[in-house]
Amino acid sequence: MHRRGLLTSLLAAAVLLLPPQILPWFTDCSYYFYLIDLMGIFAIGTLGLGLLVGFAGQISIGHAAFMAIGAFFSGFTTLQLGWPFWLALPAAGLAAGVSGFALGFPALRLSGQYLAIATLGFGVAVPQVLVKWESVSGGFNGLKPLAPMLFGYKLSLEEDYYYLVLITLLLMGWLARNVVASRTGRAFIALRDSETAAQAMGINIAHYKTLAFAFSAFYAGIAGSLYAHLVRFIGATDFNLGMSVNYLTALVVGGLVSIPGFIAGAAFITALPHGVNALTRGLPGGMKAMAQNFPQVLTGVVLILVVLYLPQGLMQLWTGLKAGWAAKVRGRRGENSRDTARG
Amino acid sequence: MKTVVTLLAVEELTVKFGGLTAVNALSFAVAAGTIHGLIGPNGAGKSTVFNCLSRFYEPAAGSISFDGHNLLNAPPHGVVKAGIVRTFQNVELFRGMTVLENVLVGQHSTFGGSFFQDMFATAKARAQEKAKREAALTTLELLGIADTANAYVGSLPYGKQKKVEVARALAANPKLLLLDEPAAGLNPQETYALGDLIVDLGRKLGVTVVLVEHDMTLVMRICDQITVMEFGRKIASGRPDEIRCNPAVIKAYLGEGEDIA
Repeated sequence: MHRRGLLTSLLAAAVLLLPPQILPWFTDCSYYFYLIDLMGIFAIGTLGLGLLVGFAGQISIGHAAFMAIGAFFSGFTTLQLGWPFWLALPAAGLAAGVSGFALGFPALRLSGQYLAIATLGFGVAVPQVLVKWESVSGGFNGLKPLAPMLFGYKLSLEEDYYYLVLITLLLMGWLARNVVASRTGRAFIALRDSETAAQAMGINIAHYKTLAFAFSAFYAGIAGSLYAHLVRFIGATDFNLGMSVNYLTALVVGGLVSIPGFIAGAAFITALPHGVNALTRGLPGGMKAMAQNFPQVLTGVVLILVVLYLPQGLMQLWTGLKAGWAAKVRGRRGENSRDTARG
Repeated sequence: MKTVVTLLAVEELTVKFGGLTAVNALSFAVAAGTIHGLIGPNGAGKSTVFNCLSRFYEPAAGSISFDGHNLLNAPPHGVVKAGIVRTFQNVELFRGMTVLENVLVGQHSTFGGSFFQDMFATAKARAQEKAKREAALTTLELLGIADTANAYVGSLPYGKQKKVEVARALAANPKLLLLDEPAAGLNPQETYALGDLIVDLGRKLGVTVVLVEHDMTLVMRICDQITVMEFGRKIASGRPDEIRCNPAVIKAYLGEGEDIA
C-alpha cells in the first residue's frame, strides 16, 4: 500500500513536471503552455473567490478588480521601483489583500443583492481609476512588465513559467485546504449558514467577514501578478466585468465548495474560448464574424446548464463516475460470490 | 445548608421595539447549579429576554449581571466567552457541516492560536484540532448521538437535530445554558427523555440551565424555580408547586372565568 502511494506520487510528479522538458523537442507547444499557465493563474484567483463566495457565503461580483490591483502593483514596482519579482509577487498579494480588507467593511452592513451591487461598483471603479492614474498604470498604454528573473534565470519561455505557476498553485491550494479544514474555515461556513448561530457560538462576524475578503483578494492579487509577468502587457480595462463574470462562472462550474472543483472550473472556463477559436479558425470569413462572440454565449449556456443539471459542478460528474464504477465493481463481485455459492 | 450563589441577575430589564414594550421592568435571579424555567403565554417576551442575554437586542433600560460581571459590556460574540451559550427555538444548525463540525464550531471560542497557524497547519494547530475533535466526540457520546458524528445535520430527524444543538452549546463549556423551547416538536417520550437529560447534564457538568418552554409537564418536573411572564411583565415566581396553584398564572393561561348572571 505504501509502495503504491509512492508510485502514484512519482507518476503524478512525472506527469506534472516532465512535459515542458520533453514536448518542445517534438513540436512548438508554447501556445499550449501559455494556455496552461493562464489556467493555473485563473485557478489561483478562483480558489480565493471560492473561499469567499462558496465557503464564507459573501458575494463578490467585481473580483477582477483585485486581480488588477495585484497586476499593476507588481508591474509598477518591478518597472518603476526596480523591485525584484520574488518580492513583488507576495507584495502584490498583500496589496490586494489590504484592499479586500477595506472592501470587507461595507460588507459588514450589506448582504445578498446589496453586497452584489457594492462589489459590482468596486469592480467597475477600479479599472476606471487605474486608467486615469497614468503615473502608475500607464493609462491607456498600459504597462509592459518584464519576464521575471528567478535565481539568475529568466522565465521568458511559457514552458519555464509553467513551473512558477504550478508551484504557486500547489502552495495556494495547500493553504486553502488548511484554512478550510481549520477553525477558520468552519467559522466561514458558519457565517454562511447562519449568522445568528455563528454569533451565538462566539464567532466574531466582523472579523471573519473582513478576513474572508482580505484572504480572497490576496489570492486574486497573486494571480494578477503572475498574469502580468506572463502576458507582459496589461491594460486596466483587461480586468473588466467580463473577467469577473468568468471568475464566478468558473466557481459555479467548479461546484462552489470544492478545492479541486475550483481548479477544474477555472481550467474549463479558460480553455473554452481558446477551444472555440481553434474550431472556428477554418471557417469562411462571414461565419467567422458570426462566431466571434460565440465563446461568451457558450460560457453563458454552460453556466445555465451547470446550474440546472449539475448543481454541485463538475465535481458532481467525477463523484458520479466514481460511485458508478464502485457500484459496478461491487455488482461484479456480488455475482461472483453468488456463482461460487451456487457451485 | 448550601449557600446560594447567584449566577445570573436580571434587574429592571426593559426592551422596546418602537412603541411596543416587549419586556417591562423584568427582574429575576438564577442560582448557580439550578434549572430555572421562564414561562408564559405566546408573546409574553420570553424569547426577547433570551435575545438580551445573548446580546442580540440592546435593552432600553435595566441591567444584567452574570458571574459578577456586567453582561451588557460584552459584544454578542463575547457572551460565549463570558460563559453563556444558547440554543434556538427553530433549530439553527450549520447545514453545510457534519454533526461533528457543528460541535466543533461550538468550541470556537475555546480555540487558541492565530489565523496564520491555521493557514500553515502548524504542528500546534494540528494537535489542537485533534484534541478538539476528541472533545467534540466525547460531548456527542454524552448525548448519545456519537453514531451520527459524520452525518450532515440536514439528514437527521428533528429530535436528533435538537440534540446536536445542545451538544454544540455544551461544547463551549458554558456556565449557563439557555434552552429555547427544547421540547418543541418532540413527542411525549422524547420530551420525557429530554427532561432526564437536562437534569443529568446539570448534575454531571455543573451547568446552570434557564429554560423557555411551553410543555408544562416538563417544566413542572425538572425546574427548581420558575418565573412567569405575561405581556412583558413578571406575574409570578417561585417553586413549581407554588406556580401550579398561583391564581395569576392560571388566569394568564386559561383566561378569567365569566360570571354567569
